[in-house]
Amino acid sequence: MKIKINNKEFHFAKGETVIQVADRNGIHIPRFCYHDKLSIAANCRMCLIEQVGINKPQPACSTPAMENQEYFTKSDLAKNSQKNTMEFLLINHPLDCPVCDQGGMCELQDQALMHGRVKSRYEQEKRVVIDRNIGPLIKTNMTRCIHCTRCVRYGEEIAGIKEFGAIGRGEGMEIRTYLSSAINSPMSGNMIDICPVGALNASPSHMKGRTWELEEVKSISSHDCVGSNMNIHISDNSVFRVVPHENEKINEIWISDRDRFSYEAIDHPDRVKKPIAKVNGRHIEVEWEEAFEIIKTKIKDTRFGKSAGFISASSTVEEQYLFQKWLREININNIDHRVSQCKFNYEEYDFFPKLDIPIKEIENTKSILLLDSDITNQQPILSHKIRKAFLNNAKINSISSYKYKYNFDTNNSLLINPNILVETLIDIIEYLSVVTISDKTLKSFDIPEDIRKNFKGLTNKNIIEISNDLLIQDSLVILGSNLKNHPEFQLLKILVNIISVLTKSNKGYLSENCNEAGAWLTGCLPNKLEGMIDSKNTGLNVSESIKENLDTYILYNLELIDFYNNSELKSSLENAEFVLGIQSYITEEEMNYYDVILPLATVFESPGTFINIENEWQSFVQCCSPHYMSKEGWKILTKLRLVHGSEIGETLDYIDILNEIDSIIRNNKKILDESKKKLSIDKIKKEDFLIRCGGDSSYFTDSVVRRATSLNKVNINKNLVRVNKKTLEQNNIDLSKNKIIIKQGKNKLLVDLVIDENVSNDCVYIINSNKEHYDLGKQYQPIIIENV
Amino acid sequence: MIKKYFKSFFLYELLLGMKVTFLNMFKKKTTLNYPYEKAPQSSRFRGLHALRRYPGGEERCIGCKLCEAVCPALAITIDTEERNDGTRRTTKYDIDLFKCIFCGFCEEACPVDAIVETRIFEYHFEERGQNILKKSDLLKIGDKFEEEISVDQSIKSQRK
Repeated sequence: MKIKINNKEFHFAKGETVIQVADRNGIHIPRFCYHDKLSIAANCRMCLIEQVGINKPQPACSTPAMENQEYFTKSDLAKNSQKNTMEFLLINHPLDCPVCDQGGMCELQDQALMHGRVKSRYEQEKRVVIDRNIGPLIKTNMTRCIHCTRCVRYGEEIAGIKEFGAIGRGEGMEIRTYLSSAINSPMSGNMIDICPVGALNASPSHMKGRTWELEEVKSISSHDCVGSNMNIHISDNSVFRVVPHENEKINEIWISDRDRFSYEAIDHPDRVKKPIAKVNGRHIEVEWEEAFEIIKTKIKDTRFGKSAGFISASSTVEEQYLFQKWLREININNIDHRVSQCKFNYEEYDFFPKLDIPIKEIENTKSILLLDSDITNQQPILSHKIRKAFLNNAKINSISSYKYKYNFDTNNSLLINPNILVETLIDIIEYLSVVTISDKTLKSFDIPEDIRKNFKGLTNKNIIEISNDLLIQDSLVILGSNLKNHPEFQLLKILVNIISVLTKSNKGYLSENCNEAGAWLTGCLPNKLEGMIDSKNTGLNVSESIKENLDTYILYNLELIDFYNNSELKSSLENAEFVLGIQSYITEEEMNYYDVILPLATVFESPGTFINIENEWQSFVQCCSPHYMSKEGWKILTKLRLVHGSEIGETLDYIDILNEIDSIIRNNKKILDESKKKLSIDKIKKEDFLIRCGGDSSYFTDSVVRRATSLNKVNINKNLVRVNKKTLEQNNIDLSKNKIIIKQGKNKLLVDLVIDENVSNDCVYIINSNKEHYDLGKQYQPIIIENV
Repeated sequence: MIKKYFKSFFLYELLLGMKVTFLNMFKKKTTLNYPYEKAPQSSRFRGLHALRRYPGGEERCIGCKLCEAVCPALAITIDTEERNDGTRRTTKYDIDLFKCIFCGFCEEACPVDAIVETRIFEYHFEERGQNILKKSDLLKIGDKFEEEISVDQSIKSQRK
């Protein structure tokens, strides 16, 4: 089918509008309300064009392309109507471009220049709209709003949370939140990008600079396992702001607020500015050479095997590779990255953390099961994909300890105590084993005897429904990132694997860290070398190395609160002879545990590679040189290898390291084989106590996000505990008071109480959003509640 | 040949030159007895820079950085910040007079007539670093010559 635009013929598909055909062929039509990711509103009238045979101008965005029609985008009629529309838009738009942050990248400014009149004929009073505070991330200036309603449609269609609305009519129309509350969507920042004028601006970079002074560098987000592509705008060797980079395979054109605003942490006061060493019991700043000298004598002196090194799964592939290389060269095999994991009792069955399907395919799945996943807050981009699947009529079920607020509806959401999560999964397996018994393709697959032993007859209707939904073709099981702290995390992974085999569904574990896959591939594990080859000298895992009270500990880009058992870790560090930290940030309290701290450049200041959940390798470059005296991780680790007499040349370059990793790991296709050993599981204990649930606050997940000031101002119910009424009554809590004391181990804390029936029985729901919460302990641990 | 000898013998060329000198003694003088006398200046004279204030005392500059962007010699450096009342103000406004070519583009670009070039052309530096005019210096110049500047500005605006 063909249409003619400006006397040229173009092909089009059925259902396309004229503006889409024009965009595809590089014909510019001005527009404000039209956005190719949003629905068509046709309320700005800027895209009026001439259609031959119709004497009124037509909006190109909502006019469907029709066979053999002719359109003119630059005829007198089209030009005049665009000019008039522009004049009307500018009646109420303030001409304060020099003040406005959007100036220089403003669609209205550009189009007024191209399609507007030179002079204004309007001399009456202009409209003024009161600005409302909608939270710490977005700065409003609603007088500038031209009512394109992109932000309203974004909230309804993309974020899935209706927060903005158009209230009033005509002159009195106003875009605002309905209940004058703050915007809470975890990807609200995208509204700033889609706003064509300066009505919505980023608060953290508000009035700090102008758009034309910025330099753009492409980078990869480092705060979740999605690996969103983003552009970092730099001015004067510091990050000015972060905006999304279009990548249809991963994040489309959106990024989460966490990725957008985390850059504020770069110059946080906690930043380690110079190497620090403990001399005569006092921490003083030293030069790099002195620090290396101390490390050389100290780590050499320690007997081999009595040291352990932990690296963050948010470090780059290069850092992880060099870290384990350095330690293994000096015969330290106790290397691990799974610091937030509780137990390691199924090491040999554990499998590579990845999603079986590409991220883009999530929207085509027909059935999704979420296991204790607060996906809307923790991985907003993936939640958006699931929302797309939901809008495609996928059935979405969840099994969780708290009824999380998703931006999609669930079919079945089963509230269970995390203690019986393993049993619930076994129940599902039991049902599935009965249903799939006639399936010939599954004949060779045996459900391990130990799991069969736990079969006990199914009664729960919800479980049957959930299992039936999994049998639909193209289904997906997702393990939420909260589960990393679950005592039976490894067993859960194994059970999910069995479920996925039985139902031929895909599975995935959503790590909170951006490079967990990298940590596995580079061999930051006690039992695996680089390229996931089994190691001959198996080292101790995190929990063993902490319990063993070793002589030397090395912590790379990890804070003590990242560890599962940080009180035990603290006592081990106190007793250790030498503790080395290679850190970007350190608090004064944590500094006392270290003997030497080397300042590490943050992810913004160093080049690297992240491997995301779909096993996509994404490299990025340095956007600014390291601040203060800090150095890039690969430089520090290369130097440490040299200090310990490694036989690498002095001239080792970043490119050499990349090539080495490419040849050893990336081009080695064999490494993703999963273990097929026979499984034997321990007896499943059923425990009877109150259990703490609720994961980390999504703005408290890693050392960078924790220090992003604006993000942490977002109201996410800081010191709240949620318990349901039945549990409170069983524990004899006075319901009339709104405060209770929670106790976990030795620590206790006074918190606000909210009675919430969305919490499952015998659970106490707290979101870890400050240091006190972390000091209590981790989630899925026993907890005691008491009256004040 | 004889004519040439005759001319050189009676110093003809020298007298011709002397005649110019002699005639000029009776002409009106074009030089000025600087610094006691000064040449007239246009209201568009582009001398030393100044930052102006509104009559109420509020500084005009809104930190839009258009002057920084337009400056062909990259002589202007600006840092901005949001002030408590929600307006953007400069925290740093430096003009490097060694770089400045006095083209007047900054004045033309300014949407609020904050940066102007005054009639001052007599200044000197004694130490390294004095060539950089800071925000406070520029405001001081503006305050001192405000009367003159405002008259010039009104003339300029009529001719725009």
